[in-house]
Amino acid sequence: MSEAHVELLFALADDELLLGYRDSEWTGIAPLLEEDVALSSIAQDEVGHAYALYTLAAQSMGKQINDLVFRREPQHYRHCRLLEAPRGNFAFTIARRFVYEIGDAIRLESLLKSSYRELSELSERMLREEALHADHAEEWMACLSRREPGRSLVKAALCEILPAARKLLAPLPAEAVLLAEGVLPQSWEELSAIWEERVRAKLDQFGFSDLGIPKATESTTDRFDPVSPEFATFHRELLSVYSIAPHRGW
Amino acid sequence: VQTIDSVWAALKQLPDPELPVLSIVDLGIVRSIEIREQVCDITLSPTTVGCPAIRSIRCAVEEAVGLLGLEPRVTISYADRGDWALPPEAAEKLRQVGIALAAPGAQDRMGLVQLRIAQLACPYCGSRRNRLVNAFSATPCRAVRHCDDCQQPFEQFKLASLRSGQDRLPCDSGGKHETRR
Repeated sequence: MSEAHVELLFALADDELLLGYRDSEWTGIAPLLEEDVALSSIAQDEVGHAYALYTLAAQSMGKQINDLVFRREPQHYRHCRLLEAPRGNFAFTIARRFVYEIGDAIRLESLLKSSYRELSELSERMLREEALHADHAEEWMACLSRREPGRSLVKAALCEILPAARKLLAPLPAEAVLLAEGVLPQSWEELSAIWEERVRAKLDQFGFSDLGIPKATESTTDRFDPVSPEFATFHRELLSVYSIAPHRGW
Repeated sequence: VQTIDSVWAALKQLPDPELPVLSIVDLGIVRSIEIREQVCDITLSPTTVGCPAIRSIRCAVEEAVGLLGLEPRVTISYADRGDWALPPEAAEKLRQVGIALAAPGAQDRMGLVQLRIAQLACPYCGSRRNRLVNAFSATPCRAVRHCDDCQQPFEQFKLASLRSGQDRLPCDSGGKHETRR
């Protein structure tokens, strides 16, 4: 196992951890009781996916999972910056989930053919759960964009989200190695084009044909950029339990 | 000397923490058992990747195997759970606590559409006039339905690997759903 494997696992796991954390911010206060349960359950799934991916990373590095997650400095997290902002309003949460889930499904589908057996097996299991998450986000997108005030709220959220979402499948620095080893069956640039196509088709369906998706002109990822103050807040909270009970399970 | 069968028998006694009417063997969580010398290798596969119960299940398995005088070595696997189907007596136990199994022809990737068109029997009155209320429930492996005949809410398993081995209808062969009116 190389550093490249770990870079990929961290990118996947950190995304799921952040998104799960943000979804869990709705527990107790979601607009509908059913949504309270739904977002809490989805959050549990996402954090569980992060845990399973961190387990693979821990195995390959010969480390303990808690050390790997909690003893990492904020600048060493590899999440897409799209996921840093707090939950926002309900439309923001749904719009972000919607663009993220499309990208997540695309990369997991691609990983089914990965030469890294454990990751390909895990991807299959995660995809089965993500199918419902994606449907959930899409159904809410359709519902919210049907009439005001949901429509304006979703549109404003999409305007804010789309530039950062464009970076979700920007190639990783270690991509050449991962492609050569067959860990990544396809380049993320290729996946990013599929993402744009699928998001475009859905936006048109929701009546947002006027919303442009920024071009992937830069081939760099934002996963290595400096983190925002919002991430620092998240990181402090993440460490608050660990600092009291460093050996507790998740 | 402990045999693989005696380990299976011991694990069959361990209740699932979230569904104590069933054992972890019934739920297909125990995937394989091997014994070499005094070391017992057990592979566990959680029902969902993020199942929070897996860590307490692991502890219970280690304790049970230890009590047999073997050294437990547990691996958590996310490999496919295959075409696992629950034994008939498990389905009956679940019915008694108000939980329906996934539809017999449940596909691997269950989206909202599949959950909505699934034909399930209400665990209370047996009616098939019931509908999905929420694809998400108290545990990651379950969804909530409502019966339009007896007006009871009930839960169902939503994963293909938690479907019934029984009650396989002819129209369910080949893993395809068919809605019947």
